[in-house]
Amino acid sequence: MVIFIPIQLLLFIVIRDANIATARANIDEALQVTADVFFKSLAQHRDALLSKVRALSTDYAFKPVANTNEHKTVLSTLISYQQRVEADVMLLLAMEGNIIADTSHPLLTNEPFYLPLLIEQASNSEYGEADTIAFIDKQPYLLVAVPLFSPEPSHWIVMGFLLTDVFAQNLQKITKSDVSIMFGSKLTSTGSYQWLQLASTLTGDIRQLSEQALTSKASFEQALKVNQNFDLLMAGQSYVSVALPIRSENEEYFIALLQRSLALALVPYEDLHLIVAFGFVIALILLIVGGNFIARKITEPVTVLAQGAEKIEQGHYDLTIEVNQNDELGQLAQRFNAMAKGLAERAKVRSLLGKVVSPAIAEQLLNKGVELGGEEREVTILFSDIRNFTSLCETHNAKEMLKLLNQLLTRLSKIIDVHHGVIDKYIGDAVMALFGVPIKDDLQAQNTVLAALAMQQELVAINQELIVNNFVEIGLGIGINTAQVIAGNMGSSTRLNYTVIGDGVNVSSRLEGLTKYYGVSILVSEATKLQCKDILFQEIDTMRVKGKKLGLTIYQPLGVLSGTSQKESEQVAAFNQVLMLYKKQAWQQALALLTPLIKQFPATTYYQVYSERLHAKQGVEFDENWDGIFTHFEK
Amino acid sequence: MKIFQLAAWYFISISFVTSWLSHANSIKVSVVDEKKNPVEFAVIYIKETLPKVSGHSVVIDQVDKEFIPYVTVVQRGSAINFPNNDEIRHQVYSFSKSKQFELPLYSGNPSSPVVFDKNGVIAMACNIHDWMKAYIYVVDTNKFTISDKAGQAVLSNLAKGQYEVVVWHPKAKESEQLNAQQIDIGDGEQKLVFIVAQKTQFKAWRSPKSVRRRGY
Repeated sequence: MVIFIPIQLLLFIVIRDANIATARANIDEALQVTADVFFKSLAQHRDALLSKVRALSTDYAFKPVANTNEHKTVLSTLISYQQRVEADVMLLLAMEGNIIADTSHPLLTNEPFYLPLLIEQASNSEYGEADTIAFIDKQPYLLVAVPLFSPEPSHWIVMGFLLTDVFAQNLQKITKSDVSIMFGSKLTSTGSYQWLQLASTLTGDIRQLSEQALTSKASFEQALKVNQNFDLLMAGQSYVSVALPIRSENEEYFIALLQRSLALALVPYEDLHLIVAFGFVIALILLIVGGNFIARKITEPVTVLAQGAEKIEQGHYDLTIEVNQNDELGQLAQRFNAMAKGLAERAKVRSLLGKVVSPAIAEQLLNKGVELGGEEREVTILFSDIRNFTSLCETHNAKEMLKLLNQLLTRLSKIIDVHHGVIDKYIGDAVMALFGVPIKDDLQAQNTVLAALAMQQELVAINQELIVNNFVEIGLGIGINTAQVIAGNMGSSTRLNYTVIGDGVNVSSRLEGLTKYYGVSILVSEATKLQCKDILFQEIDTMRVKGKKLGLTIYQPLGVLSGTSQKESEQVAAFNQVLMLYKKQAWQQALALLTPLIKQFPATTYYQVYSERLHAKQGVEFDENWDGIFTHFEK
Repeated sequence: MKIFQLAAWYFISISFVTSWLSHANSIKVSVVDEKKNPVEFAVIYIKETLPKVSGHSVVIDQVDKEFIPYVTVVQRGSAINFPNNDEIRHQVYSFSKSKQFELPLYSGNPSSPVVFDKNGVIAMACNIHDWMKAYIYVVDTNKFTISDKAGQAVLSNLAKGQYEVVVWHPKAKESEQLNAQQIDIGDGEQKLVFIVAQKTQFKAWRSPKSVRRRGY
């Protein structure tokens, strides 16, 4: 719409300019024709005059009259002849130039002719003839001079034709151009030309304006010299004009000013302009109406849709677009709403998925698609369980407990996340986490142990907060095992779960359960311990897991080597001595070493465990079949 | 009749003797223009003042709408006849100061000849046929001649003595005094050359040959 108006205006201007150019071309052509006709007409007038004078110069009645040289006789003959041929002035001159008789000055005789140049020109011409345009008593005449042969050249006959409006009007009848005969004379005071209108077809107010217009046109003399068209502004109207010099002498000009009104030439095009303008208005109205319609039916809905799309891009899926149209855009809006709804649901699912499954799994599910089946992977499984939680439950209501549990699980889960673990599931207050799936992690064992240590560290902080809030302290048992398991999406085709299955999972769970027995916070299998570096472990026991022949050595991680003290290392070394003696069945010696440790660390539960075992073995003979593996019977 | 015959014989014999005696005394005149082209129709005469004659008669014919001859020189007092040999009528006129006359439309011989008793140039023409033009030159001498196509003319039978020879031509630029030369005539033939500057004349656009074609 914005571009339409300039285009239409441009079109209008182009058409207008083209019309003006055409009109000007037509005028130029017409003026050229007028100029030709003017000169032809002037020549015809001159020739007609010449013919008349020549006829007289051969008239044998006139010869004796002329040769009388009697003023009155000649004058009356001239008047008679002038009337006969419809001339406006006639003179008879003696050969040397003196006037014998002059019809315009009946009393004048025996005086030099007032237009000596005409006679001079005739005398010097081949046929003794000359013509000019000159003033006689301020009236412009077309004049010719011809010698009278009797039979030698004895007189000059001069005949003149007054250049009147009729002359101009006759030209106008043929050419339809305005014709003015102008006389210009140089003013000695200013050096510029003053123009006088002698005859013209111009009527009304503009008739006299050509004088002013020409006089005020500074470049006119130049235009006159090159015979170029120029515009003359008269009474606010532009006239395309051409000036034809008829005679110029002594800085005096007789010119024919041929003119055509530009406005008049444009009249035929006015209708065209009107049609174009009308078309322009109609188009504009249609455009405004149509534009409104388009704005209402297309632009507005599209804008609404675009805004909706922008909101969706920003993540605001909960929107509905209002486009009440029964067209394609209405359908599009409906589809858009459906899409937004779909996206909202998808976003909800994604958000929930992140909560239900770990972010890494959720990502894998969303990106790779969901398919049943799995792969064998080495995984480190962490099981953690909150101790004393049930006793907490007794003192507080369920809602408060659930809130507390969720807070605890959130804090612990965060630590698992940080160590690249994924939450497999929450089982009440217990957490099962996997390390090394679905994304492979070469440091999975190390990361798991560090996560467990960090969780224990976090527990200290949690307990401080609990005490402040009048809660009972809680404990946290963690079991860790690294094993080959099957990892993947398991369940039915409609409901499934990314998890791992295998003995290793059970071992991990079992280790978590055994922490209570040994009175340690974390128990790690040998498989995990072997993959760890720079962590101080305390070997706890070698045990037989149900259904397995081989023993499983379990360890308690104490912390990162750099963070443990000399004292701790010595304690670990001391207990390792006890274990070595125990495995050698040197009960007495083992107990001897253990007793001081118990005295020093009476709270260490597994010291007590071994103390009981050694006391029980006192006096038992060396048995070479004893493998030192302890079998737990209770779960 | 006898008297007439006797008189005739007398004149013939006298003129024979005088011509034989003075034949050697003559002037051969050559007339040229500024470009050394020969000038025809130049009147050459000895300037003197003889009394006017009477009874002398000359003819200027009108044949095929032309005056023949174009230039005629006569001694003052001579009469000229203008017989019309065409089938159409002519109207001969002159407005020259030396002789103004008009012979209204006529055919055949005019009833009476025109007597020229005043010196000077008479430009005459036909009022009907603009190109018909002729010149008559009236002089106070009987010693005159007209140059031929070669611009040549001879003045003969001149007695010894000093003469002023004058040349006139219808198109001469200068007045006749300037075209005069003094000459001493002795025995034999003298030669004179006249250069007659021609004045430019308006073209006789009325003659049939030069009429411009101007159709409608």
